[in-house]
Amino acid sequence: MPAGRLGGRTAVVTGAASGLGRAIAMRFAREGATVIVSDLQPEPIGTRADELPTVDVIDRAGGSAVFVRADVRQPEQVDALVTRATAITGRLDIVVNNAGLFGLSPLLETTEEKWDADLALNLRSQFLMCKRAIAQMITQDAVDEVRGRIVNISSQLGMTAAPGATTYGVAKAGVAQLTRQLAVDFAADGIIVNAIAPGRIITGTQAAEREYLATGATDEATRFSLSRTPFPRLGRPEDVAGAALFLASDDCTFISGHNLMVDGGWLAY
Amino acid sequence: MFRLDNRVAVITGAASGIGAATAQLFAEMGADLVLGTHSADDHDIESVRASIVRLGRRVTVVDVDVRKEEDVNRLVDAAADEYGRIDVVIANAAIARRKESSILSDIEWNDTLDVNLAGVWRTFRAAIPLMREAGYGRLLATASTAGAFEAWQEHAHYSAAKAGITGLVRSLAAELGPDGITVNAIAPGIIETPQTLDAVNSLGAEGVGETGRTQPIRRVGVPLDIAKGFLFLGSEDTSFITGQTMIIDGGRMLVRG
Repeated sequence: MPAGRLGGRTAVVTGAASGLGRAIAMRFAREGATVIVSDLQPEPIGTRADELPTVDVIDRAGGSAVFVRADVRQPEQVDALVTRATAITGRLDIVVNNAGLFGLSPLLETTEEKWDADLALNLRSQFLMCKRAIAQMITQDAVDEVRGRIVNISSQLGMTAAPGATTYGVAKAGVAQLTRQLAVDFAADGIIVNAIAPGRIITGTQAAEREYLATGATDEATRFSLSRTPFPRLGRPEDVAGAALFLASDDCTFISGHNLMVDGGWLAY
Repeated sequence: MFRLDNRVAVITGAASGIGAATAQLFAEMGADLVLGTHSADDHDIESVRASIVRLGRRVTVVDVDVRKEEDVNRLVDAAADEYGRIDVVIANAAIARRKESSILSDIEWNDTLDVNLAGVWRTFRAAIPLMREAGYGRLLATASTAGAFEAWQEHAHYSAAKAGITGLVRSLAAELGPDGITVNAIAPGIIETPQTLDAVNSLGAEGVGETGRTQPIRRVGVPLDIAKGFLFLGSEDTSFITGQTMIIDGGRMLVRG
């Protein structure tokens, strides 16, 4: 078995071309997992589009990863993604449901179509992935009582409201409840389901964030986040990757249905 | 990853149950240890010490009553004097004494609060200066599902103390975040330990076994389940996780919390 905490394991990470998903995929690969890097396109988005695709970074570091293009809003593409991942070893050990996109949606400006589209991207996609992945996982042999581990990325904004974040907040609160529900329904089958609620994480996909990372220059939103965060810095994708690794690893044995906040103490404060 | 190589951890209540399992796992992951034990209790600290020595790590054992400030300070001073640093504190010492509330005396109330809540505070307080100087620290406590997340009849004093820990870690997290110190707790559910196996003051073997048949993850929790949570929260990987109380209970609070 390859060295590392996830040696010999197959992990699907959705939305893994950029941001949190990219950091999670890279960390899992460093820990020996074969990582299925799933996204709409292999290249990072936004201001990081000039950087290497996640699979190439993993490849150069000696890790194991394949890119599988999938729109996780589409059931048949979710099916194909899980089938492709399972084909590698006959098992699907870990799924990280990270694909999603933040955007504002003040109520009076939000059309029915936007509501449906946002919920499809940020909540229904995780339902589809959980359903298909758990259907596979319950057919697998248990390893130390566990057949599979799922990590759903929720958000601080699913636990507290931010101005105008209507659809995103509702979807992410839904992710937290989906996590609790599936944890209960499949615990006896050895499926462990947890969530991570990131706070303000600086991914550098937006211009202002990239500026902050490069020079420390802050815009108003960043200054507000810093004032609300007990920690002297804002979050990094690696902070979330470390938490995902814990919840995906053999160290996570008796924890299920938990929504782990990675927010520098924002909500505690 | 989730290693603690050459880190120094102070653990109270280290002679049995969750404290002993955490001490052992931390040593396996490369930490040196300062263990607090209350010798008046009938626990076997020597077997814990011996297992750590076998793992090739350094260990110092200090007899501590966490109700006494000078005892707690002596424990933390031992870490500072012998190892020059404190990276992780696990404030774990606690007592459970069943008592119907109308006859729960002030002395009994104060005693449980003194060990289970003020004891955590005293241990944290003693470690803050050294952690602040280092700009790094992990202050961790053993809370409970009882109190903050569920009722425990005839344990109002225990529940109040354990719920108090969730408020303590929140506020300390905000206060100490700027110093690079994270403050978190774990709320264990029903874990098979000498405390829970005590049929007079807790569930006893039968009650503990019953949870293993009924909770979502259908087995009894063991101290190692909690130790692994402390390993994660005690590691360098958790520098952006603070003010949290992490429930580790086999999913029990999801269905009856």
